[in-house]
Amino acid sequence: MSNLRVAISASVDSNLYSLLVTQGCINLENVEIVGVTALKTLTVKRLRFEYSRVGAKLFRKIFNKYFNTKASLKSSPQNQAMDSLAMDLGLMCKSLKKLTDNNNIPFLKVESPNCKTSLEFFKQHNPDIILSIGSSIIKKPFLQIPKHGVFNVHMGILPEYRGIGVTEWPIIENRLKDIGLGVTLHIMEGGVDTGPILMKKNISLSKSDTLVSLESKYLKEMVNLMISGVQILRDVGLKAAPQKISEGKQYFETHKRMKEFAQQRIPYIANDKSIF
Amino acid sequence: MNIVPIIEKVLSWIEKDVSSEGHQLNSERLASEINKYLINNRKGKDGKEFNRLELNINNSLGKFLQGDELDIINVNKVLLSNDIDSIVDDSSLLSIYMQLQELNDNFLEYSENNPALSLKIENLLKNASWIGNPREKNNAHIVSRLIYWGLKMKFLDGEFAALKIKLLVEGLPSNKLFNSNGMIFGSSFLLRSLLILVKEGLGAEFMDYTKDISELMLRRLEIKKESVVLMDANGRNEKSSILEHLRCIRAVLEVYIVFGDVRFLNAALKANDRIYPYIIKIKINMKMSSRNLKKILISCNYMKSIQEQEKRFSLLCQT
Repeated sequence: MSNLRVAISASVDSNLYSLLVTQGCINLENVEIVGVTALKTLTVKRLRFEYSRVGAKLFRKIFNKYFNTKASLKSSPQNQAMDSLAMDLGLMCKSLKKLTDNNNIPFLKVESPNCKTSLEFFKQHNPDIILSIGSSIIKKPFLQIPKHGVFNVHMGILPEYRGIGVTEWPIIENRLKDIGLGVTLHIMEGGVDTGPILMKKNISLSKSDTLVSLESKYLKEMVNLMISGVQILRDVGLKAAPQKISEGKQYFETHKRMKEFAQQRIPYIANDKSIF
Repeated sequence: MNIVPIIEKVLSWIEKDVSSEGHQLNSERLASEINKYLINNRKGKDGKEFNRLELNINNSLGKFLQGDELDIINVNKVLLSNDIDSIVDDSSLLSIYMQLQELNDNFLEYSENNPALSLKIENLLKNASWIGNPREKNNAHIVSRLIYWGLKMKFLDGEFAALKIKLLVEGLPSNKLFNSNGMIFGSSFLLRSLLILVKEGLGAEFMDYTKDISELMLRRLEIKKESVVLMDANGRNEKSSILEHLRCIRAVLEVYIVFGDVRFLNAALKANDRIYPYIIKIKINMKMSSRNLKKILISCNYMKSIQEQEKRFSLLCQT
């Protein structure tokens, strides 16, 4: 049985999701990680892209990440849960560069997944699949490189909830009973979260959950789903079901008052006992 | 020295978070300035004389602020006794008057159709297209405004309006609503007319089209995130663009009311926050000039938009 050749297009070097997925794939037998790219942190292009996404909140994001250590919530229960997942997977590094160096995996820092250097790097390593980690827009030349496509885990249930803010939207729209919260593994296409669906995983909502605590639940399931997808592709192959676009909508970032509304609604519509 | 609190303050200032209280205070300030304007412009005060339309504007403003019922017979008289072509110009007294009347929600039933107005619409439609030459575009714009006001204030028969709007829709494929030059100025009236028809059960054949252009409007607001949606050349100047933008926000709120899709309420909340810096700069003086009246019209549309947004958000929170 030949090895499944996996490449990873990661977010920034210290991104926890990228680290966990990379470590998870390293642990899999008959899976060879042929290359990993990470985004350069503070490039003008990246800052412009992020600014177009989050506006002036970008400055706070940078401040909290690099200067305000109190805001990083190092000892929060969410981070403790992530520490436990990291321990389960045997993740010891806090840098992708270090992790790949330790495991002799080719590593490159790039400005964007779609830049020339990134495209050449992935073409050179001829992967069966590329795992896309992060929220970059992926263009056609990148999508055409791997044999089986580019995998992405979307933080919402597809086809119903495309776009962003889809952790809050099912709560706002009171759709926990029929759609629910969850994550979806899909093959990326040109549109926003429109590619064929590979697997889904529902996430329960507890009365004690907050939008912040939900993030760590999501992160854990995203890592598990991505690794499961690689495992199943390696063992039996994956069947992808095309999405019926008309069954869903594209969602956008929620206004802060909508977020507060979602937060207040959680204790009333939590479904941890009724469904799971 | 701990500089974190200082940086926090600077960041809060940069983020310029707009609160619902901020919107309320701004609305109250504008209402108070309009009241002062009204007091200063009472008939005959300081020997000033105004024409009939100007007096009607002051009357409409008073009614809007007090939430009074609309005198629809007077609307018809004014509309038909003036040069109707000027209604596409937001600075014209007739346009300002009609738009102020429309802001009032309590309309007296006026069951009689308005034959003169219907005939005017029929004639204009012979040479009207939203994507035609300048004259055709202008006619499409006039017809859209007339149909919208007619439907909103109930002086135009719904079935007649539905038949006529079908011709306008055929002249504007949904993907042409926005182009590289921006949004077609005045097309908010078309969307809002469609929404009234759908709401009243007369727009079954326009349902898909209405949903399509609503979705396009939502994407434009959410993806481009412009403080004021870029308008085509007919937008003419910043004040006109702000006014059309506010009409678009009101249209988005109306989409939420008709289809119950919360994404549109969310988009309106964000769009109203983005336009806040422009509205806060508006200062209403005592002059009865077209410029000042246009500022009053912008303020009234903003106040109406905030009032509707708060009402809908509060209802959502009760569900």
